Amino acid sequence: MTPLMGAALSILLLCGLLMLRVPMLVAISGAVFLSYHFSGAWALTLPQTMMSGLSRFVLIALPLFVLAGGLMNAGGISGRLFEFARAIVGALRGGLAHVNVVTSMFFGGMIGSSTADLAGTGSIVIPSMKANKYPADFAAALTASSAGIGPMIPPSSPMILYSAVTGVSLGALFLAGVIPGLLLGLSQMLIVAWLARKRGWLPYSAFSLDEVWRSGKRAILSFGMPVIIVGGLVVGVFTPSEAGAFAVVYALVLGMFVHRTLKPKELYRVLVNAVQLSGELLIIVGLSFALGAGLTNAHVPDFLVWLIDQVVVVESAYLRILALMLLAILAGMILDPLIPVLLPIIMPTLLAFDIDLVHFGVLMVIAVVIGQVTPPLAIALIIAGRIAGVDQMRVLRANMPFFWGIVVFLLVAIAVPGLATWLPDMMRN
Amino acid sequence: MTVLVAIVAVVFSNAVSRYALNYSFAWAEEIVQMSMPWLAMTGVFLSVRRGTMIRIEYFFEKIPWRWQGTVARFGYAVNVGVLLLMAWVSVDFVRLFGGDVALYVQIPTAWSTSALVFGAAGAAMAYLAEFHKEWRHRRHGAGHGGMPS
Repeated sequence: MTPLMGAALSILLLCGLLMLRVPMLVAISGAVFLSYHFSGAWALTLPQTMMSGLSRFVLIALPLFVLAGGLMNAGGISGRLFEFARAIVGALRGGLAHVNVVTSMFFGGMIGSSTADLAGTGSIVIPSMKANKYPADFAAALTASSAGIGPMIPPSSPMILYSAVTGVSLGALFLAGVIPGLLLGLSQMLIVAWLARKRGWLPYSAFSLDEVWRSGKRAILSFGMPVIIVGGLVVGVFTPSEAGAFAVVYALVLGMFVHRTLKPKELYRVLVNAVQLSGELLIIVGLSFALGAGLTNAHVPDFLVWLIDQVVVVESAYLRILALMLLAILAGMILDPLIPVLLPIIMPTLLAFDIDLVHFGVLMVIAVVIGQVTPPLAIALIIAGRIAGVDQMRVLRANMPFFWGIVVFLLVAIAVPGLATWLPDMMRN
Repeated sequence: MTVLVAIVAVVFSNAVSRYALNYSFAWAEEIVQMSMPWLAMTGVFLSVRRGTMIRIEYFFEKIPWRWQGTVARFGYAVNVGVLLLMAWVSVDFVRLFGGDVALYVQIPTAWSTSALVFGAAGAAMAYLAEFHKEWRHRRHGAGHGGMPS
């Protein structure tokens, strides 16, 4: 059997085990062992590549930002951010739906994943929207989609994973996500404005500068977190891992001593959750290096380059990126986390086609966000549906305007790389 | 939990010391990197115990009810087998390379790499315990045979 056929069998085994509800960690390990067997590689390559993947310094940022996000969440900042967002955009037609999006944009600067964003904001925003006569399925759909802004704006867990797997500067990736993240939020507000006009939704509250000032004062300290992260990276004061450690200390001081909403028992729960969540992600990243080594030995990346050259007959970087994104979106519909599993397979292809890795990193995060609102996995729709008490299919239907919105947004982001690369390029110069 | 708290403390104090005292701890980066496998494996063990490992439920739920138990048991066998194989290979890895001494902290790397052995073996044992519990449950006629969450 040729190594390429062995690799194909390994990928089939990976998909088969995942479909049988075998944990991702075990499925990847099984596929790696099989690919090593067929390519004649030493079995010890598995722990060796895993250790090399785990010892990437940038990965230290992952548990730190997960912990910082958990502390901010447990410290009750979502309520303060919601009030501030209400004071700013509550007066627009369909005000509460706009508040939903703006709260997620604020929250995105503190929390690095959409599920954490959903857990933090969903329990406040969805009941408020339902109480104000918004359809429950729409409230869930909008919250699921707006939670996707979180991974675009730094800190971002998918970007940390991408940086660890590809070696691209995490600082550059964080900066690259800022403009697309804000534009994604703006695009969702445009869709809300259109729906509000069509369905006759009213403003939530009158605009008052006093209210903006009052709620702004209560929320202002929460914005210290994005200032620490982005500011520290831009000025070059911190490495991303140090930014993570400062964010943890800041969130801890804010929750325990300033807002006094974080209790020791809650702190312990947050710590355990952070270890649990980041631990499994770290191992999957470590295994992704082992998987990448196995597939590279079997010349899978060469085959992928050949395949894309057959499909995309025109010499166009955009069409090649489009083909790769199509693959990423399809994989993202069933894989979460997507990046550590897919990137080792397509990374050599990106290098062969000379694709900008910072630009592609932002596109990959958009693919992750699309995967989270697309069945069968659709984790964001499931969580939002549970909070709203509505069936997932109803949420899926209500989410269609936002789904097509993010697909168009992805096409724009592919066609205009400057949206992602302008800020990091400017800071570098 | 201690590992995570220690990582935060080391990274934070190293950054503060660099700016406040113009002094960096040479060992800081190495000790944090050596702690990462322990953090990762503790997280995996916790996930297995809490039944929150990352996996896809969708296709399993589409399997006819009467087959779900068999598929779940097959899943258990795969989990235990693959994790034990990983632990076994990791033992070899630690035996061969664990004697290398880390540059700054001057301790054998086995302190770090043995996390793979304990983590994989611990997770395999946890799955075995779950399987046993489920099997006993079924034997007493109360279970449906599906994998507990």
